[in-house]
Amino acid sequence: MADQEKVSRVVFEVIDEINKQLKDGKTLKQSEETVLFGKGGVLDSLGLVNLIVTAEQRVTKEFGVNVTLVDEKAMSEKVSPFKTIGTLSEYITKLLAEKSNG
Amino acid sequence: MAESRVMLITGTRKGIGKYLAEYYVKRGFRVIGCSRSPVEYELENYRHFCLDISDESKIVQMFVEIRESYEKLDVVINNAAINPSIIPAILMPTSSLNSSFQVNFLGTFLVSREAAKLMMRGQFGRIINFASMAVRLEVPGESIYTATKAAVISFSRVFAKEIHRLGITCNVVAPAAIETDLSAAVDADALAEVLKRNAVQSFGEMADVSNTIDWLIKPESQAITGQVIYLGGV
Repeated sequence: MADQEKVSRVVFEVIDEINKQLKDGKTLKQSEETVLFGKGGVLDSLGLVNLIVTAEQRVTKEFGVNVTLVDEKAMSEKVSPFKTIGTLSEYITKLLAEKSNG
Repeated sequence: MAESRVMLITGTRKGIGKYLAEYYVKRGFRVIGCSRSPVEYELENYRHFCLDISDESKIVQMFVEIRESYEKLDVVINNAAINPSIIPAILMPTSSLNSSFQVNFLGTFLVSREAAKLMMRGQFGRIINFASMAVRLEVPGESIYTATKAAVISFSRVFAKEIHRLGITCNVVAPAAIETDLSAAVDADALAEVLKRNAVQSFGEMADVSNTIDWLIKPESQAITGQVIYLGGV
């Protein structure tokens, strides 16, 4: 089963990759509290799409599991999985645990 | 020399899909094809996946393998389609509606969605979806098939607006009737009658389709998106 620490490392690597693509001096700070999207966030809607797609691909590569980060379940979470780096890591850990438990 | 372009074509076992696979391999593309059954031909620079295009997990896995093997995707042609029941809607079985939407619309959607995820990394992509002259001609007996193709058109036009910022275009080609297994299922007299309503009243050729696609997939065609091109003067 994927532990939160490994997932966090993968998410930070994704953030590194996204930072390389951000323009106009924008950058996402490597912190669990960094807001990704919405009020106080760095990413626009296109940037968020890019982040989600990159994260899905990295998770597949690192954990050998295909995950879909955006579905009805993600939409119905009380706190959006895409609010901060921390919520994204938590959500991916939860999804991987569910996949692992069948 | 730049690495050759990579193209995915759905429904390559026969008909237009097979023709396009052969045509684009000859033009130097690395072609990936898929269909429910294996193909009975071999082509250099062609790789085949056996899958049902309405099976999301299989589609996602195919794209994982495309990403790992080719690292990019330049063109997608969503050709696969079925037309299981040509009968008045009043007699149409629900199972025909379900299978038609699964393959013709859901399949097109899944492949387009996953393709765009792969294409966006290279900031380039060309998605070609197939509709039909039936959408304009509104042929009795083809209500569900026509509805699936109308759905493909609406989806493609909206999708084009969403993905153009990613360097990807999405257009629809609606061939006139071409002699394939799909058109063979239609009564010949009825088909001739329908074709009389077109500017071009004879059967279309496969080359009409590839000629149109050649133009749409050119790098210079970046401003052509969200369009529906009816062949045969429908």
